[in-house]
Amino acid sequence: MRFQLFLGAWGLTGALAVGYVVWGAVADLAAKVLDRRKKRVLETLSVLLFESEAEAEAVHDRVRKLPRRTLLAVIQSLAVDLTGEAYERLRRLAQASGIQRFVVRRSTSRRWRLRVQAAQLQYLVVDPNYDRGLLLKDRHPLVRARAIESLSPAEGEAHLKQILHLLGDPALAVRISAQQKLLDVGAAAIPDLIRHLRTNHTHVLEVLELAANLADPRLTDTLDEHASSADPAMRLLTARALGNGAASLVAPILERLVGDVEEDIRSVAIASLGKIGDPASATLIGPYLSDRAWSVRRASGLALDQLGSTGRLILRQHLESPDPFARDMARQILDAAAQRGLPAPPPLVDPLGAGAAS
Amino acid sequence: MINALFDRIADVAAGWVVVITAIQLVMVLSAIVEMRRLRQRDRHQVWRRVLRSPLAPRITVLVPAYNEELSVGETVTGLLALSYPNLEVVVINDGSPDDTAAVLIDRFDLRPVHPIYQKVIETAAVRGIYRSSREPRLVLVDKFNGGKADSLNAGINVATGEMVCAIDADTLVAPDALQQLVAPFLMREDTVAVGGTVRLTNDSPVRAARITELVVPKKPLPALQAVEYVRAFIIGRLGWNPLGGNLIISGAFGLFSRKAVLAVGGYEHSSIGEDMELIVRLRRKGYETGNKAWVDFLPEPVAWTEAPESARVLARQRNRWERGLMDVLHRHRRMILNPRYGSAGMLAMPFFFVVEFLSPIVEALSLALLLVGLIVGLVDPGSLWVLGAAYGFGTAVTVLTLWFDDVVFHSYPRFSYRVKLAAYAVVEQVIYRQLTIAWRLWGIRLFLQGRTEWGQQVRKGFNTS
Repeated sequence: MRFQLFLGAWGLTGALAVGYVVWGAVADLAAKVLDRRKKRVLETLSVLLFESEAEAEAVHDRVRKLPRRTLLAVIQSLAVDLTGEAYERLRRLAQASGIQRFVVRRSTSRRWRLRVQAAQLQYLVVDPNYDRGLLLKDRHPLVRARAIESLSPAEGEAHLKQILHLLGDPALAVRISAQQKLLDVGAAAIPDLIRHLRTNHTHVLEVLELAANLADPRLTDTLDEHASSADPAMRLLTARALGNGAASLVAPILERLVGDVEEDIRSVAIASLGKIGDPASATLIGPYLSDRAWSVRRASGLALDQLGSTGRLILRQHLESPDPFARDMARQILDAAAQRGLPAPPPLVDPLGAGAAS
Repeated sequence: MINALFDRIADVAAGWVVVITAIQLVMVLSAIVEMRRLRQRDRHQVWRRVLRSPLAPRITVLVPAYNEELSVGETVTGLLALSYPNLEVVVINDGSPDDTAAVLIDRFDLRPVHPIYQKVIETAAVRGIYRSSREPRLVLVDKFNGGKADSLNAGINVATGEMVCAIDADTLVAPDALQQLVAPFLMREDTVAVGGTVRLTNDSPVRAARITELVVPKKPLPALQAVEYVRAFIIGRLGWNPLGGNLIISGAFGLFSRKAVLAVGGYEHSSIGEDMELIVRLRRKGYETGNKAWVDFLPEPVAWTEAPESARVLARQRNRWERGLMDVLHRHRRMILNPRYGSAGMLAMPFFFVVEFLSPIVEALSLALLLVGLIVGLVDPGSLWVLGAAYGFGTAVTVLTLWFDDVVFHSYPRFSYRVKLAAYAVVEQVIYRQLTIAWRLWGIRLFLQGRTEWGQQVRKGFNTS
C-alpha cells in the first residue's frame, strides 16, 4: 500500500512532467503558426489600409472573410492612432465585416470586460445613431477610461462637457484619460476650460495641470486668484501655467510666486519667468542663484541663460560671487552655453590666489 | 512501543509534507483564478496609452547600492531607458567601500550639488548629492553606511515622485515594467504597494541593460532557484490576490505610494526583513486607522535579478530571509489570528507562521528522528515510501506551477529548457528542499542569538558578452 502510494505520487509527477514538456513543444509550434497567420493578416490589412485604392479593393474581400477573431486580434493590436484615409478604410472594413455590429452589441453587455473591448473599438463605429457618450457614463472605471481614450479629437470636442466632468472622477485612471483627451482636443477645449476655472471650484488642480500643459496664453488671464491659493499644489501648477502667458500680464504674478516658501514653486516660477523671456526679470532672478535649494539655483541658472545676454551678464557677475554654490551654478550654465557656441566664461580664478585653473 | 512511536514519526513527516503541499495546491488554484482575471484585463491593453501621457503620476525609482560597482551602471542605464514619461532615478550609495559611486560619477558625468532636502525620515548622514548634467532625471545620494532600509529611507526623503519604486542595484527591469506596476494605483485609490514577478538573470544574455533571451542557468544552484522562483511567485504571491492581498513585495522590485510610506515612517532600520516588514506595517496601519491599504501583485515578469551561485552565499541569503520572516512575525505577532486585521490577520499571517516558519522546524525534526530511527533499527524502512510519496506530491505541485507559468508567460520557450526545469523540479524537492531547511534553521538560531547582520553579497555581474 505504501509503495503503491509512492508509485502513484511519482507517477502523477511523471505524467505532469511529460505533459508539461510535450504541451510546451506543441504550444511552441502553435505559437509559430499563429504568429505566421497574424503576420499574414497584418500584411493583407496593411495593403488594405495603406496601399493604393485599386490594391486595397483587390484585398478587401479577402480581409472581410478572415476569421473575425483573428481580424479583431490584429485590429486590437493596432494603434488607434490611424488617421485620414487609412482610418476611413478601417472603418469601412469594420462596417462590411460585421465588426461594427459586434462593437455596438458589446457596448451594452452586462460583462464589463466585453464593454472594455467595445470601448476600445468604438472608434470603428460609423453609425450616426451610436451614442459614444454611453460608455463615458459606464459604471466601471476601466470602461470609462478606455471610452475616453478611443474618442478622436473631433469626437472629444463633441463630448467636452462630459470629459470635463470626468476630471473629477473617483478613479485616477479616468482622470488622467480625461486630461489627456483634453490635451489632444487642444485649442478647442480652451473656452470651456476658462469657463470652468472662472465658475467652478471642483477639480481645479486637474484643470490647472492641463492649463500648464496646453501652453495657451488665453488661459493665463484666469490664473491670478489661484496664485494666492493656500494649496501649494495649486500655486505650483499656476506658476507653471503662467509660463505660457504674455510677459506684461503674468510677470507681476510670477514675481510674487518667486518668493514663495516652497522650493518647488520658486523653481517653477523662475523657470516660467525664463520661458516668457522678459530680460527685465534677470535682476530679480539673479539672487536666487544663491537659494538654499539646488533645484531653485538650477532653475535660476537656466532661466538667466534663456533671458539672453542680460541673463548671461548676471551669470558672469556671479562667477565672482562670495557664495560658492552660486559661483558653481553660474559656471556650469556658462560652460554649457559655451558648448553651444556662445562666448566662453573667463577662466576660473583659484580663490587662494595660486593661479588660474582650466 | 518505541517502534510504534518511531513509525508514527515517519507518518508525521509525510503528513506534514502533504499538508504543506495541499496548502500550496490551494494557492496554485487561487493563482489560476486570479491569472484568468488579470489576463482578461490585460488583453485589452488598457493602460498603454494613458501611461504614455506626460500627465502620468511621477515615479521615483530608488536604487540602494552597496558594493555594486559591477552591475550598477547597467542597472541605471536600463532604468533611464524605461518607457515611462514621468520618471526620476535616485541611486543611494550606502557608503560602499568599492567604486560604486565612482562608476556612476564617471559614466553619467555627475556633479555635486548642495545636499539640502527635507529629512522627513531620520537616516545616516548624507555625504553629498550628485546630479548629472547630461541626464537631469538621475540623482546620486552618497551617504554613510546605514543598511538597505536606511538607504531606501534616504532615497524616499530626496524623491520627488508621488510613487517610489524600490529596486535592487543588481536588478534589470522590463521596459514597460513601471507602466504595468502603476496600473493598480490608477484603478484603486487605496492601493499602497504593487509588486511584480522577478526572474533570474544568471547566464541570460544582456544587451543594453535588457535580457535578450531568458535561459535556464547552467549551474545547478541557480537553476534550482529558477524553479523555486517560478513556484514562489505563483504560489506565494499571485495566489494571495484573491485571498485579500499580499504580505510580501520583492525587495528587488516594488512600487509604493510615497505618501503611504512616509505616513508609516518609512522602512524600519532595525528590521532585517525590511521589505516584508514595511508591507505588513502598511496593511496593519490600514486596518487600525480604517483606511484600507491594498497590496497588489502582478504576475507578469517585470524584473530580473542575479541569483547566488555558490552554496555559501545562498545559505547566507536564505538564513537572512528566515531571520527577516521571524522578525516580522515577532514584531506583528498581535496580528496573527486577530480578526481586527481581516484577511492579513486571519489568513496571511497564520500562513506565514505555519508554512514558512514552523515548516522547516517540523520537517527537520521529523527527518532527524527518522534518520536516527533507521540507524538504530527502530523504523520500518517501508515507511520511507510514504515520505517519498509526499515529496512526489510536492514535485507534482512544482511541475504544475512550471506548466502554468509556461501556458501564461512562455518564460522558457524551448524543449531543452522544459526538460531541464522538470528534472530540476525533482532535485529541488528531494535535495535542495532539505538544504534550504538546514539554512533556515541556521537563520532561526542566529535570530534567537539576536544577530542582524546581512553578510557579504557576491555578484558576478551580467552576461553582456
